[in-house]
Amino acid sequence: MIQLYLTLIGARVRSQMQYRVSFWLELLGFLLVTGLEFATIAILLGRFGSVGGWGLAEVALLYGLTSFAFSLAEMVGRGFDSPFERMMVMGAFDGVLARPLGAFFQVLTADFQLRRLGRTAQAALVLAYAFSQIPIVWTPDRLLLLPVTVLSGFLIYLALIVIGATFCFWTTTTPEVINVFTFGGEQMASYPLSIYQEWLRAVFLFLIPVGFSNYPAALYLLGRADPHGLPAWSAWLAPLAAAVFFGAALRFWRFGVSTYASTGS
Amino acid sequence: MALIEVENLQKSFSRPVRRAGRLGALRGLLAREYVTMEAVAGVSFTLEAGAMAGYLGPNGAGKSTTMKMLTGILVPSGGRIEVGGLVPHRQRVAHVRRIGVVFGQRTQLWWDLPTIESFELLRHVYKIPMARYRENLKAFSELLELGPFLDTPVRQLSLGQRMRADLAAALLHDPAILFLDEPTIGLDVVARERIRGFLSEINRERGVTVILTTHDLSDVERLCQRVVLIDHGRVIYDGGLDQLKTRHGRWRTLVVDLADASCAPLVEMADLVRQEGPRAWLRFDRERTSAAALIAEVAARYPVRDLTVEEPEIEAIVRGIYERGVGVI
Ligand SMILES: Nc1ncnc2c1ncn2[C@@H]1O[C@H](COP(=O)(O)OP(=O)(O)OP(=O)(O)O)[C@@H](O)[C@H]1O
Ligand SMILES: [Mg+2]
Repeated sequence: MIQLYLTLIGARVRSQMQYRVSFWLELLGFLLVTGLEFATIAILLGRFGSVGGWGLAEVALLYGLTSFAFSLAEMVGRGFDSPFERMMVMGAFDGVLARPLGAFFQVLTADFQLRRLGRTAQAALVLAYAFSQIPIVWTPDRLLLLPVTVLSGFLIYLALIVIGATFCFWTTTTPEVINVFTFGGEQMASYPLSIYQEWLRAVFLFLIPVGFSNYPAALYLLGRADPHGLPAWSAWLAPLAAAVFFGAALRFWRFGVSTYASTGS
Repeated sequence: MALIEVENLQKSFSRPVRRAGRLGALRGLLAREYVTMEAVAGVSFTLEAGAMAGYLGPNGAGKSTTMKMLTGILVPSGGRIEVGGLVPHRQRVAHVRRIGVVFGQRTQLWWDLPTIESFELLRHVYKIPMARYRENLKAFSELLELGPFLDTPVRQLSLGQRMRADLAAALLHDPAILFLDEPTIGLDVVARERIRGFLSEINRERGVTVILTTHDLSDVERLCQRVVLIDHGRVIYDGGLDQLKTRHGRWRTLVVDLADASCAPLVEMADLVRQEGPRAWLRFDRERTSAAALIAEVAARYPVRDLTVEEPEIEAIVRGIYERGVGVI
């Protein structure tokens, strides 16, 4: 399966790389545009000094973690965006179901945007800045938590993309409302979860767990306590939250596929 | 047990009703009303391995919908399908591994990749052994003359080339059954003929069972011994093509191009059904009148420049059956 994934993705990337210059320009574009996103946060913090007791370097840690995860999800999951939407409008999803592979797998391999590494690079730079400013004691568990958190965040964002796409089975086009969750989730996770109202915190930890893409992990790395009593070990719940959420997204997707009505003719 | 068994198959679609006016649209958003339409309303038939069957009917009869259920793409609303012992929509992956699918209206190939790369990817997708893949590719390249455009991206192919590429792609993994939904749509006579030749060859030589929909009677005539005719989602005829034609398709039309546009060709053995300038359409019953006799008669009495006999369109036969019923001849 992984072999096949790489083969199919390889074909995509190769055809994208045919236009080498535009590839690098787009990659650079993503780096700069998402760089502006962080710049906005930095300017805001420059004015107020800190948000919820978090200084710029600490917010950079939050932002870097979630942006890194988000960039991976966008790179891998873009097949669920416009390619899938196109499939639904043009009835090409028929072809997907006529092949001996899972529908999820095939839509996933319908696109792979390597140029989204622009955002990954930006996130890495922001993280590097954060680590240079914050004296984190790098114990093995903290080192391990880093990839665990990023991967969990990646799965959570990917699940969000899949859930948004699934609505296509009933509306044919991805409703904009899902962007509220993906982009909105990414934006809101750029600030410490502690500043939000209780119900919002609950939503973003237990319903749409984007909070797990960074907040508990950041607390753990900083050795800081949550003012609302979120225990330190909750950082290790991220993979669980991600797995449950991704599983739910997958089930929702399967349900969508089973109601697929195709198009006429 | 037959290879394909379909029993009381049904599929209904529900569509939101649009309401007029601005308020109507708003109301529609809040509480949608649906109408249900039965695209397939209780179809039953069986098909033996090795057969080549035409699944025919007028526009909107439910042909494509049936094909999509047979290929596991759509989940039926009711009834039973079994193809080679598998239920298509439940055991979709195992099922589609053993079938090939071509939808004339759209390609199954990777739009922006060269044709050969699409084939390569299919080799991976279906896990076709390399030797077998090479063998098949070579055979299909020859039969369908794919060579000249193997390196062309699929989006740049002409309709005829694309259809041939799609056919080859559907057969690379040696499927037992080939489902074709309008495989000759939009093609010229030469391209159609090539595809027909190819289909009859793979049916004969490789024993692939073929089920196809088409609006072109000559496809059916060339390829199918067996036809299933549907209308409004129901089977209205199931049997041999020959019986269908002798029982329901006895009307022929002789198209006459006259040298002189001013006269109307009136003969006793046929009805003048239409005339446009020098061209006239004469309908005759081929059980009472032979085409040869009619042609001789017309040619003897009028200055004729050209003559053609039009076969009855499958649509006309279907319409006839639908209006008069199957039992009535
Ligand atoms: N996805 C869909 N949603 C709603 N209605 C549909 C859908 N697909 C088909 N239908 C309706 O079902 C009926 C049968 O359609 P189908 O495409 O099976 O006809 P067909 O026999 O293939 O016709 P044609 O010869 O025009 O291709 C039509 O009335 C069509 O409008
Ligand atoms: Mg159709």
